Amino acid sequence: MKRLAYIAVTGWFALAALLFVGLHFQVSVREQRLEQPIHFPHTTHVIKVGLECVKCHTTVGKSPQAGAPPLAVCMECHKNVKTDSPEIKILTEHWQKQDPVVWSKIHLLPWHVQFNHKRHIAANVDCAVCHGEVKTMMQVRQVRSLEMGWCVSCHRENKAPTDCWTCHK
Amino acid sequence: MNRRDFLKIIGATSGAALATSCDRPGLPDFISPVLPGDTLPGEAKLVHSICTECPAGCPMIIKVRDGHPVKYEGVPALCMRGQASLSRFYHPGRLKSPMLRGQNISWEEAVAAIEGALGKPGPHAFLSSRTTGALSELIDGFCQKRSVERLPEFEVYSYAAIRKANEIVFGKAALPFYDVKQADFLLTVGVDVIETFANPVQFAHDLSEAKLKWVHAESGLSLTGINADERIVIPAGTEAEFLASLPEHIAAALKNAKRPLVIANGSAALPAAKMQKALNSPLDFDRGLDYSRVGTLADLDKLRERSFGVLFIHDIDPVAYRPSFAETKAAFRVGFGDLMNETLRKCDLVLPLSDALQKLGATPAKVVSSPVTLPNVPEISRPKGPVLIVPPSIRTFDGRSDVLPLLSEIPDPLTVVTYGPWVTVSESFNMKDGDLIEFTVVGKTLQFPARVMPGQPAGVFTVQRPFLKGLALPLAENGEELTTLPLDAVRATGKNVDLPMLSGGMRAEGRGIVPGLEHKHEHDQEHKVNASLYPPHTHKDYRWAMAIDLERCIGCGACVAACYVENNVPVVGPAEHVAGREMSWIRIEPFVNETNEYEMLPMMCQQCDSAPCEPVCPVLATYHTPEGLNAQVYNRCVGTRYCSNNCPYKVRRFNWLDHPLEKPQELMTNPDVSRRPKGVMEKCTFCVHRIRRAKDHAKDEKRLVRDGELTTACAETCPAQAIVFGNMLDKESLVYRQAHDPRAYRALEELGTQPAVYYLKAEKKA
Repeated sequence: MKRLAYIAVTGWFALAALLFVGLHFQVSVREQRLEQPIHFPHTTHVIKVGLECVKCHTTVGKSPQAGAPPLAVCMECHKNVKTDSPEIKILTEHWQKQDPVVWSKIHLLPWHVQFNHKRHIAANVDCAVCHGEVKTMMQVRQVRSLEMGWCVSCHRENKAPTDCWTCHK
Repeated sequence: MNRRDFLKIIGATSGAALATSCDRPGLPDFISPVLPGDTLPGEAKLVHSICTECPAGCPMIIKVRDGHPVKYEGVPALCMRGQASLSRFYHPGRLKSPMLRGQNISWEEAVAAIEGALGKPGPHAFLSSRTTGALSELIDGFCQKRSVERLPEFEVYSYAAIRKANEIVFGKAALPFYDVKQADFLLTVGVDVIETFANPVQFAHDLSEAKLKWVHAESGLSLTGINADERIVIPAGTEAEFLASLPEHIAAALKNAKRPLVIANGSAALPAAKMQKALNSPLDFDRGLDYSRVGTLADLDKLRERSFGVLFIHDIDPVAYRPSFAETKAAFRVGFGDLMNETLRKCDLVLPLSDALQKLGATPAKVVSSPVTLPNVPEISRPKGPVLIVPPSIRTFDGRSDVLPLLSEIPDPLTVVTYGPWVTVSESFNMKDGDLIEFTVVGKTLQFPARVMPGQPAGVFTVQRPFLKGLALPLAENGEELTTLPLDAVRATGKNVDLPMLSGGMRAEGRGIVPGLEHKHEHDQEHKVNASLYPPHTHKDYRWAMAIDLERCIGCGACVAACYVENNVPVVGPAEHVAGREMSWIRIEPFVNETNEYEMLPMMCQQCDSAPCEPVCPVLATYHTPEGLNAQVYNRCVGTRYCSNNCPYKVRRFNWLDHPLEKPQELMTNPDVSRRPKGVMEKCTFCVHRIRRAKDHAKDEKRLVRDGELTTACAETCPAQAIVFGNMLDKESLVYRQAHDPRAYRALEELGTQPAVYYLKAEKKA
């Protein structure tokens, strides 16, 4: 009887651990395969067409928040380019209806953390350091952990501030 | 419990905890706007507007983040009500659709219903609150086109007595601007010039720059009174008599002053106006608020004698003050409002107003004189026996702001009661705080819990006007409500209720917290050594500090409201307050001495150099930053509350519960500041997010933050300019100079905490 109880307790904890691992795996998978309203292949724009990141992400070096490119930037080209593609038709519809596109956000920070894009651009940190080689991605996914230890190791290497209140808000 | 049960519970709870810990909040959106905005993402857009929370109409700037207003700032200051009015914008109860007798209808149907009713026999009439500028013109245009009569505007505080007196004395039936900066002596009789009277923020701001002696006479106890250099208590209802036979030293001071200013209302308005003329008081009729279209409550009562076709009622709640208004005969009532109230419930058609930020309005226009009937000088009827005084409230004005939960959360500054109602009673009445008192006023028997205040005159009971909503008070001959009423059958019920009061006691007990008010016990000086075992902190570029001038501080509580909004501090409700679990990061502490003189002291985290909270934290969630701030890292905090127990200033707040927001209030959240979950400690950060932003901007230009470039939310809104924030390492900075002022001291300095907050003691008292 006593032995059975031990097995039950151990089993319960094992089950909980399994659940934790499983859910964690599921969450990370969900993060990486988010559906986007419009299929936007970064690789076409960066490698094939040869655009710089800041051509579309215009405010990233000027503002704490990067912000998504305005539709007006897309339409600079797509008024004429590939207008018959089904994805561009969705884009054109948004533009004609003056309806903003709501993307799924991939790179998320916890509620208690603030991040300043402008400062990192000013310090010549390449976009790929945090975002990975987005230019090779057909669909953007998170490749860095964005966890505190990962941030701090880079801050230490580059003698950037490591005071808690630099990032914790 | 046996071991087996214990294991079962542990197992079950750990499993549940694991399952919930993986649950993520909804993913935020990443939005492509259609066109590039005129501001950068993450930076605030500033929009000019006008505060509509009271008729003063202070100019203000709205900070808009990602399309949502997140903060109001005054130009140059905003009061508690103005700060809290952001929560009116996001109020979950805001009316959304037109309603015909309780049924939601479309705007087209609503307009058709009005058209139909306007086609029927009139007369039709339009009743609004005090309106100015574009809105007033728009209503005029509508009324002319559709032959609708525009009724005298409704304000509970119409200043009719002052306007009538000024017409007799100056030939101008207007409320002037009282130019206190030009005055060298100020005598106020019964008017709460820094709380609600006319334009209180402007007055408090000017007063902080004025060099004068200020005498205030009153029959109750008010925040205005305790801030005056001299407070004179007079019998209730004798304001005019007081002016007629002034005490000798005041009469002499008035005579010797170059430009004395006398302000009084009600029965004393006429003698005050005569004195103003004789003494050449600095009044400016061109800059006063335009009350020319505002009628009195007597005008409102007269509407009952008439019969209307369509009656438009715009943005007011007259039923709360004159319940009989509901019986006014009208075939079809159209009410405009943003939140449901008693008047709108009596309307056939209810139309939601656009939010305060979209309302048309203008700064006060030039005063136009309008004919007003000559008043009879009112007979002075001094009530015998106990009296009730009914002043407006600094928190909710005439009661129009009591729909904003934040204003019930912030204590009434002087009585420190949060959730009311209450009646302020004298110490001589021999009661305890919270004892239920029953009394009869204008034929109605009411019960209120008592709040015993030192300095409240004997026999005088004070209930703020908003707590008497639904009760019509008798009118004076000038058409305004009487604010002094005889009380019958005052008795203690023997019951006691929990009154939410945010102060343990108002005596400083010789601890030297307010040295301007009372002397510090001598022996405490012996302990004044730096007892720290650690070496002193070194600071490279910045050491943030604050200086608070107690001579300027009027204790109005605007800083408290500003802090709530800026830092996403939750509103927790009366039950939590009674349990002592309020969340305010900054509070106003009233202190009183043996002679009933008060001093108001704003208390927030003192950002100690040798902070008692830091060494007791077992997980290093609170620590000292290189810039001298006492930081709290929320996600590291495990909620032991040791820090709070070890804090001598009692400024740390623990989140006992989560306080989820009802939609759409979450849009009000300042995105630069975390919303803290339950189980963690929080406190004032010296607005570190503002510091971070200022440093970011300075770094763009490769320089240090300049003095005056950065200030905290509390300092920014302060009408009296009492709070200064800056860098102590900059010897040119204002905060450095103030910290080295001979008046400067630090609270409980003898403990060796070395606070970064310097108080400048008030020298006018003690």
